[in-house]
Parts: sequence; structure tokens; C-alpha cells
Amino acid sequence: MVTEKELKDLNKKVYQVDLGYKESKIKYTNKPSGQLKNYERNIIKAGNQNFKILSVKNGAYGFQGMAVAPIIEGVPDVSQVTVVAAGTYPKDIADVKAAAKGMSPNGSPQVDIALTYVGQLIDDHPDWTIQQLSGYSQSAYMLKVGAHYQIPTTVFSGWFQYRSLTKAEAAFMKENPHLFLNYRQSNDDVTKWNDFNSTWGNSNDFGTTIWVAGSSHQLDSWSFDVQTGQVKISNSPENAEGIMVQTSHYIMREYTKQLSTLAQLKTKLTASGGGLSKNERIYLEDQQALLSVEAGRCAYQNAMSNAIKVYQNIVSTIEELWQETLREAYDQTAELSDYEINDSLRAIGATEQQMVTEPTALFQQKIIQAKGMDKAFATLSNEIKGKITELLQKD
Amino acid sequence: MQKKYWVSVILLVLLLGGIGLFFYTKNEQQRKEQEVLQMELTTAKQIKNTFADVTKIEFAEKYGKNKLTGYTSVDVTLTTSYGVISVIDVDMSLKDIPKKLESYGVNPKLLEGVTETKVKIIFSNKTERSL
Repeated sequence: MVTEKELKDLNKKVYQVDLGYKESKIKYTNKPSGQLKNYERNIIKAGNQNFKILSVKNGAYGFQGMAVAPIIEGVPDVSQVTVVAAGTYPKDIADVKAAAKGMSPNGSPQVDIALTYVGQLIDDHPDWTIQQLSGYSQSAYMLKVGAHYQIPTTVFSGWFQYRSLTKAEAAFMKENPHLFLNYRQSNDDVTKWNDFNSTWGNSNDFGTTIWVAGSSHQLDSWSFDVQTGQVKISNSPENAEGIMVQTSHYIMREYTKQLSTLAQLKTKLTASGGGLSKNERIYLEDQQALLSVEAGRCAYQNAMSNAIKVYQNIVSTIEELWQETLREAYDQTAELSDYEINDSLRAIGATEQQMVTEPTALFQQKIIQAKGMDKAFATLSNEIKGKITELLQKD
Repeated sequence: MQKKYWVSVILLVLLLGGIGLFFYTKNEQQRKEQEVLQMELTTAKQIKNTFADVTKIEFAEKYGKNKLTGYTSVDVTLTTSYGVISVIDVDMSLKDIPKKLESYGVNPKLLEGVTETKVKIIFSNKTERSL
């Protein structure tokens, strides 16, 4: 599976399928190796992975796109094809005009070229599996292409008119938000003034936008985790929601992947024996239940860790507020004794018990409850695992 | 007399301003050039960690800049001891610099590996050094 770091590199390089791209002599093509000219290449290194270029498209309205597959043991693995479309190239007038048109509710005109291109790739290459789409800036319209053909899509600093989705595309995105990741910085003016989406007002993005604190529009501004290759989001209160959305999307992706592995296993077992035995059926059902519980637990832990962070912030804010109240009371009533100040505060209902102790206890209670739920998930998961082991021993 | 005095004062201020601006621009140019040379040196180290038996690394004079993505790109010609001369497209960034080169057009004739021996570097400003 292509990582987000590799996608970023592919987004950076896809501009070079255009012969008019002036920033490098090297151009990318899908020509066979024997026909390559001096400055032509048909393999791209992205991250630590070599990708074979299977197809390139230089279309109308300044559209550039390419389909690539990772080279595994010397051979392009066409079961893992990725299609990437280029963002705006500021020196290409057609591209800039398309970006200007993209401010309308229908979005960039390049989207029609992208829809046809991906559709044609699907029709012409039944042996390929297009597993991933990607784009940057203007080419965030790949989100629409992804919703149209039901392919996971990840875009960086993308502006996108969600209203340009058809009913069917919007319905698919709404049901499967985990397949769509739209990484975007909260104060990126380029995206804001192109689609008018912001942290405080959106057209419905179905939970696909991952807001990250920052103000850059550059592809170069994104950082990636060295181990996972995923976009690195720094741990801060304003990024809490973004981290939660990113993690939950990945949990759901893993869950659906495991479910489809189980479905394949079921098909295999049915094919070999002409039907499922009772034990096989129980095994599959237990595995499925286990997966659901584990996915639920991961999602819950993700939400819980964020909730705990929020609670802890509130608790420390409450404590600070109380200290501030006391300080101000002392400053303004220097002639009163401690007892008199406390008495006056009590008269208006401001006691430490009410302002600090009780709310803190309430939030701590919530944290304990949340941890209790996690234990319940763990117990359920262990029970199912025990049943599966028992079943395997009997068989 | 007074008019002449003021004209001289204005001319002097303009002259001093001009000299200041000249040195500022020159310093700025030098600073940028230093920054580019530093980036090229880092890239040369990455190249040595990525390809085997490189003998010469030459940076093109002309740089490319995609203002949207933020990447500065330069074409680099590599000469090897086994007779292959090839150009790679490098995108330079000041942040997250990995040990090896990442993201470039692959020429399978260029052998991956590490170059342990000294390499001649020709920078974009045509100065040379060995690394």
C-alpha cells in the first residue's frame, strides 16, 4: 500500500509529464525502456520505493496525470496502481485559468478530464487494480474522481467544491469517509479563497477534511512519520480533532481490509468443500466478531485519548481560573482579611468546592468511566479469542 | 548659496543610500549563494549515500522553482567509474533532510549503493571541491 510520503513525492513529480514544464530537463513517460531519450525516465523513486510509470496524460485545461505501480521484486505490481494528478503550475496559463474557473460551484474543469482518464484506465486495463488516487491544491478534485469510482483518495492542501459531487458520489463519500483524506492547514489562504471552506464554515465535507494548524499552501510544508510514512501532525490542542480523524480513518481502513480478507477466506473454504462446515462457520463468525470488537476498541481508544486530553485541559483551566479569581479578589480588596474575602466569594456562590473540586471530580469520574469501557472491550475481545482457540483445538 | 547647500546634502544622502543598497543587495546575493552552496553540498552527500562508484557530481547552473509546491529543483550530472554518465532531477528542501536521496527519476544503469571514495563536485557557480 502506497504511503502518504510516497504520495507526496509522486505529487511533486507528476508535473514533469508535461513537456512544457520548465523547472527540470528530466521528463516522465510510460515509453518502454529501450525507447527512452536522454532526459526521459519511466521509473520514479518516491520515498524508498521505485514506481513504474504505466500511463501519462497531458490533457486539456492544463491537466497532467499519471498512473504508477510499485516495482516489487523487479516487476510492476499492477494490483497496487496509484493515479496522481498535478496541481496548478503557475507558469502554465491554461492551468491558471482552470484554477480561476474552479472557484465556481462546479469546481475545476480539469475534473472532467480526470474522470475520463481514470475511467479509461479502468476499462482498458481490467488486470489493474487502482487502489489509490491523489492530488495537490487544484487537483484535489481527485476526491470527486475517487467518490465516482469508489477508490480511496488522499489530497494535500487541496481546495475542492464538495457541492460538485453528484448525489451518488456524495452518498458514497458520506458512507465511507475513511477512504478520503483531505489534509489542509487551517490558515492556508490559497485554499480558503478558492473554495471558501474553513475551520469555522464548510460546505459538507462528510468528515473528510483533516484540519492541521498552519498557514502554508506548499506541498513542501508537510512532514511525514519516518516509520509509517503518514502525515505527521504535531500534538497540540488545536490539532486534537485532526489527529482523531486521521487515526479513525486508518482504523476503519484496516478493519475493512481485514474483513475483506475474511470474505476471501470464506470463498476459498466454500470452494474447496462445497460448503462451510459448522466449525468453519463458527470460526469465521468469531473472527468477524473479533475484528469488529478490536476495531471498535481502537476507535474508542482513539476517541478516549482525545477526550482525556480535553478533560485534563479543562481541569487545569478550572484550577487556573480559581487562582485568578482569588488573586483578583485579593488585589481589589486589600483591606479585607482572607476570611472576609472567602466569605464574600461564598456569598455569590464562588467556593473552591463548587468551582474546582466538584467539576474536577466529575471529569475524573468520566475518565474512570472511559477507562472502564476500554476494559470491557478488552474482556470481550479476550473471550472471543478464547472461543476461537478452543474451536481450533477441537478441530 | 543655501540652495546649493541643500542640493549637496540631498545628493550626499542619495549617494550614501545608493552605496548602502548596493552593499545590501550584494550581501543578500552572497547569503543566497551560500545557502545554495550549502544545499548542494548536502545533496552531494546524499548522492554519495545513494549511488555506488560516483566520481564526479556536477550541478547545473540553471535552477527551477515551482512557487506553488515550494520545491527548488536542479538537474545534477553524475559520472561514475564504470562509464555511465547520467542526469538526475533533485528537489532540494531545507527541512527533513534524509540521509539518502528520495524522489528522482530512476536510470537503472546507475548502480545504487554507497560511494566511499573521494568525489569531485562542481557547484552551480562553477567552483569545485572534493568530498
